[in-house]
This record gives sequence, C-alpha cells and structure tokens, in this order.
Amino acid sequence: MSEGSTTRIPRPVADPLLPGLPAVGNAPVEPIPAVAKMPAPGPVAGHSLGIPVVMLLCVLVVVNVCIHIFAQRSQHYRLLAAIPRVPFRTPVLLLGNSLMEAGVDLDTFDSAWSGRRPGMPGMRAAFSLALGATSPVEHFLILSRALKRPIQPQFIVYGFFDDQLFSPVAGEWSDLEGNRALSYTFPAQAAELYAPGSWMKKGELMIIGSVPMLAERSMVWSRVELLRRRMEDMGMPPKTENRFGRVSDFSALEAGDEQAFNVRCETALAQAEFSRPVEKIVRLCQSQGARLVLVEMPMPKRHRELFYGAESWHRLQGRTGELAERQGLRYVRASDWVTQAAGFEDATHLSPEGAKLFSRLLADELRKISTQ
Amino acid sequence: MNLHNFKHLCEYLEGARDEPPSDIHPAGRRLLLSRLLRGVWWGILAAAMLLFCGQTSKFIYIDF
Repeated sequence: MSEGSTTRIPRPVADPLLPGLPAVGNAPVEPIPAVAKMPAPGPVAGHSLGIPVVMLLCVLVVVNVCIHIFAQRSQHYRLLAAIPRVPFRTPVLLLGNSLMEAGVDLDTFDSAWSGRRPGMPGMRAAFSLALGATSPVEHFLILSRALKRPIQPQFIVYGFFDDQLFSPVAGEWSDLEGNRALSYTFPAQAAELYAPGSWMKKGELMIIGSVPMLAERSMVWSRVELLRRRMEDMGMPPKTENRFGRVSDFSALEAGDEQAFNVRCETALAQAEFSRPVEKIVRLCQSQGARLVLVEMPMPKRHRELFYGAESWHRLQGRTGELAERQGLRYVRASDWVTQAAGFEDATHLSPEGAKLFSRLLADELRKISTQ
Repeated sequence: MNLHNFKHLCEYLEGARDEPPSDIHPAGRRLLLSRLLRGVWWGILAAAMLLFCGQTSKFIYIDF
C-alpha cells in the first residue's frame, strides 16, 4: 500500500444474534476506511540502539572500575597484598578460617615460642595466613601463593573444626562470595579443585573473575546488608555484636542438631582420604619440606558437649589421626584447651583472652613437636 | 504533573512504556528521549540491579 492511499478493505458485518462478534461464512461485508496515512515513526521506535548501548556499557565500565578500587580494601585483597611481606625465615605459618584468625594472638605466640617479651621488635615467630569465611580451597590457594616465595617454614599449622578436613567444597556462583571470591583470583587452580578437568568451570571462573561487579559483588551487598540491619534495628533492642559481626550469626556455622552432625561425620567416615583441597595442602607442605600440623580448634563447652561427645565424632577423630600418621602429619586435639566460657566470644570464636591461652599452649606444643 | 502523568513517567523510566508522558514540558520530554541519557539511565539501573540483588536473608560474612 502506498503512503497516503485510501483503499478500502472489507470488514465482516456484525452478527445480529451475537452483538460484538463478526458474522461468519459468506456474510456480506461492509467496507471500512484503511489507515489513510502511516504515522510518522516515534522518537523511540525509529532510532538505533547504538548510542544508548554504548552509554550503558560506559556506565558499567565505570561501576566496575569503582568496585575494583573499592575491593582493594577487602580482607582477601589485603591478605594477598601482605603475602610478599612474609619474612623468608618465618618458622610458623598459620592457616585456616576465622577460627584461626581470631584464635591466635601473635604477640603471645611469639613470646611463648621465642621467650621474647610481647611487642618487642624483630621477626615474629608466626605469620597468619588465616582468613575468615573461607574453605580449604581458598586455604590451599593462599598457601600456594605464599610458598611461591622462598619461604621455608618449619611448621604450617592448619586449624580446622568439625568435619572440615573431609567435607566436599562447593564452588558455585552462590558460594563464591565474600572472602571466597578469592577463588576468582586463581581461576585455573580453583577450577581444578572444584571440578577437576573441567574447562567449563575454568572458563566460568575466568570470566566472572574478570568482571569486578560479579566477582566482588558482595563488597556492595555487605554494605547494603549493614544498611538493612540498621533500619531493622530501629526501635528494637540492640543485638549482641563482636568484632566479626552479629554473635547469633555464627551459630549458623554449626550443624543444626546432633543428628545432622552425626550424618556429616558418617559421610566423612565414608571417605578414604581428606577432601581434595586438604590433600593438596598436605602435598604442598611435603614438597616444601614443612611439617603440617592439623589443629582441632578450641570449641566452647556447649559445642563439645552437644557434638563432640558423639560416637561418630570419636571415630572421625580416629580416622583423622590414622590419615595424619600415614602422611607424616601431626594431629593436635586442641578442642578442649580452652574451658572457660570467657574464652569464647560467640558459638565458635575464641575471645582475645582465649586466644592468648590457646596461642601459649600451641607454641608449647609446637616446640615439643620440634624436639621429637 | 498529575498522578496519571507521574505514573506514566515512572512506567517510562522502568521500561514498561516506550514513550514518556506527552503533556510534560518539551525540554523535559527532549531530555527523557535523549539517547545518551537513556543509555546512562539503563546502565545505572543494570548496575543497581546486579549490585543490590544479594540475598539479605542469607548469612553474609561482613568484612568489618
């Protein structure tokens, strides 16, 4: 149809019995005027998407640059930045999650290890590579980054709790946030632990890792969460917090109940060896000539009575001991080293006082091991 | 601007309509139809959606 023509097209006449519906069959049709003129294209419909898309991409690039800069302040970036400062002759490297991070007072450890007074200048006896909210995969990645330098530690102390040495580690999109986003910094190594031999996983980690808005998304989420909590707390009694966050949150790290804990222990017992990342940690330590010491971290009385009294836990301890002995590792059962309630600040973490006690005992234990 | 136009404007900004309200100031309409600004606006929305879609019910270990 040419623009501006006034041709007429037939329209069915309405059925008198069914008003509103057109007649069917060979019913006569009445002509209706066609649109006389096509409307001029609107300001939106006719335009190319080029400029808006370019602008959208520019905004996303700016957001990514901002998040990348913001993420340099995150704990895992700060730890990676600190690794080149580990003195070559540091005798003890501490590895683990927030239990180890909170559990060792480096001054007290140093004093107990070397006999120096706390706070005296000089090289410390231990360097902490522990990072909160991480799994054995990240522990391996951190340790392998640290041992790329010619550090020759005498001991690598790996703090763990419950079935952490055996449980499989998930590395899906919803898992790798917060400090676990460290996996995106080492995509090839991390992919090999999450899904051995999978190019898909490696590609996924590489692609996500190259977009700060995706890899470091929880940097912004956590700030939104803080804002949400502040709003939630308005007019409500304050919730107990410690240096790690809300005290009640850390109960979520424990098994739901004794039965769930037993299931986890039985699952761990069904495995012939430690989980893949823990085995990698073991082999890495052996290749560097460092003694790996597996330390069952101190737990509050409630946790020990509820979970560590179970028969399945004792069998799991036995299995851990066997595997450790077979591979030439030391297994230190320190879960009952801190018995006072004041030694803990939540369901799992040692308080500063508890950390001092644990650090002193740990240094004594390592000195004993070094003389054996 | 009446409530109807305000709703229309919101629907345009959130992408439910292709056209901004017709009876607003011509300068405002030109601004809303600017391809440059539409790109910036949708860039901001895309970034905001991605960054604020965290699950607040799940425990998030916050780097204090």
